Amino acid sequence: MTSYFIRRFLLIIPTFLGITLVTFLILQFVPGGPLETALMQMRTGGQQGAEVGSSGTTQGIPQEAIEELKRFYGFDKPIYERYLIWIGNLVQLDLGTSYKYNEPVWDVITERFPVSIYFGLVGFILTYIVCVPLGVYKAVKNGSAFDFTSSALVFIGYSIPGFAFGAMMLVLFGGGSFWDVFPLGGFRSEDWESLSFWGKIWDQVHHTFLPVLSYMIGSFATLTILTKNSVIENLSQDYIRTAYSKGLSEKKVIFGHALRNSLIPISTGLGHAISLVLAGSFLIEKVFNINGMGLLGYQSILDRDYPVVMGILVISTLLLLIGNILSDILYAIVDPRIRFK
Amino acid sequence: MNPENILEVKNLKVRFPIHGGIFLKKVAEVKAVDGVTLNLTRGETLGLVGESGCGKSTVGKAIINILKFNSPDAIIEGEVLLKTDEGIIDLVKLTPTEMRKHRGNIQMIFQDPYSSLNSRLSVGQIIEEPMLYHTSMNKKERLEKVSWLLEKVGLNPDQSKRYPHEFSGGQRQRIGIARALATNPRIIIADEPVSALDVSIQAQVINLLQSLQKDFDLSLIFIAHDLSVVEYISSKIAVMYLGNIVELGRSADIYHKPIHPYSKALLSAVPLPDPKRKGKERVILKGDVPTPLNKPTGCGFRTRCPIARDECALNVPPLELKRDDHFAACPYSE
Repeated sequence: MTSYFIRRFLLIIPTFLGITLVTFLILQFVPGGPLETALMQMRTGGQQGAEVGSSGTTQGIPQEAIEELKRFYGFDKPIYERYLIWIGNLVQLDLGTSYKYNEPVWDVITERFPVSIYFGLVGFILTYIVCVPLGVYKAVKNGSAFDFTSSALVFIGYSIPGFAFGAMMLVLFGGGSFWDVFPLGGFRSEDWESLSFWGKIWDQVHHTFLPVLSYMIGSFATLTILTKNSVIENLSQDYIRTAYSKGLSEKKVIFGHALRNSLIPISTGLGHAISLVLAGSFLIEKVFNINGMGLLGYQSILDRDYPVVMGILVISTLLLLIGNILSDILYAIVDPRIRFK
Repeated sequence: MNPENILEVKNLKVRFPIHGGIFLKKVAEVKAVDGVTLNLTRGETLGLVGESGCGKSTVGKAIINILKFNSPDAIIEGEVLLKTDEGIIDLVKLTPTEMRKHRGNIQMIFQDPYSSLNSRLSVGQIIEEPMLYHTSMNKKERLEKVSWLLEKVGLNPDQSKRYPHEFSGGQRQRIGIARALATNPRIIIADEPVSALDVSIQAQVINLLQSLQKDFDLSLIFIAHDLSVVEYISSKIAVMYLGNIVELGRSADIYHKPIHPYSKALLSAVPLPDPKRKGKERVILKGDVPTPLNKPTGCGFRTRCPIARDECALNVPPLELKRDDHFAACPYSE
């Protein structure tokens, strides 16, 4: 088993190289890169300068300046060399400097981490806390009015895009034409630091409620129905009858025997919880004005801020690959029949 | 209740309603068990035989009151009287919670040793679990008993940490037996315990059941469709057809001198492992078993019976004493 997982970890390396290479290449060929942006700025800047000063300066940019810019951004070297340099820096844990923020990429990203981890974890935990018991209850009461109503609700939630739901919630509860229940957005209030301890918590919850609800609304259906179907399937198994014949109470049978086996498909999703630090949808973050990873990734693609794009890619790829392996480890832990070789 | 008996089943009926149509109204009813009466004395083995679908497993599950978990609609009528330390109890009338207290007295060995064990629990946990609810033993005593039981059923006590999938079919059925014995039951209902095993293992498991029966002073109801297995283990045999018992008597009597035409046909179909004995007359029945959805009136067997008469359609023939301790539900057969 150990050798299996060591092999799996070693396989991360080629997968990772493949993913970053392809993205690196695509990024280099997309028009509107930093070089063009800088040249554009210089041109407009040059024009202003020309107007302020007297006549005589050239409209064009001197060839040396362009070469200088190319060297600054590293475009003077062939593409494979640039990739190798980038990988070389990465091995030394140097993700480069952001073109836009002029700060190390690592600092730009870690600044957003707490916000994304917070929303990711809160959403994730709440989804499991709500969906697993709901799924079990629906399985036990299969076919009842409650089962039908809750299924209808989770599927309605599944079919509404999170950002649209978020916008609707803001219109309804954001203090516009209807009710003033929740703030319009942001991660915390501006005077958060000056609040009392409980005030801080209340303020945080207040700001968290709508965005988290929008994040989660689509994932309710999947997990709830997965749990329900899994429990129903297990409840009809022969060993459930054995458990009843032992004289166990219904509660013991459902939670000790049926749920235990139903958790196999559910728990494996936990491995991917690790990639939640990068969770977040830029649209929802935009709607609620939250400065998280989703928004950062989106902005850096628009700005052609390649080092940041690649930095986010590195982190999300690694987390996803490790999450996959964690899922497999969880499989082996929860299901004694599964042993990897 | 007869003082010799430990279990009396009186006129047990099990019906499964079938719902259909737009509003899921009850459209029909399967009479899976249609008035079964049985007695079990202490230490004896009663064999219950019949074709697939004749209701023999349903009788077993109805006795231990476990039908409702898989078929909540099932309608169970009649009496299942169990002699316990607290007096005689009618198991049919008990609610699931009341029934739990008595489950220790009467246990079942299930047919499929693969699916009837929870794959997420270790063998030790599977066997220990009933003791948690039916005994007041502490952890150490329970673990000792698990080891002891594993040894009793011919497994290595060191294997208690292993999981069911690590065992073969025969070993798994031994685990099922150890599990059933964990509560010191008086009665064990074995529902086709060997039909999922191959023949050499069948013999081992049956011999094990017989020796355990003596050691634990058990009364056994042995449900099977394999007549040679049933004859080997049973002291008394009941033959079932379409939800009714058609013949009941001592094992040797039924096997060698069957009375009911169905038992005769059934027994003539038993393959004899002797190529020289070809002389035995084979009774071939016409047609198929009627569906229990639409049972023939009167005697259920009359549509296939070689000696059926018009009168057979009138009444369900009762079991009547034909010879010494030998009952059959056919007025025209000797």
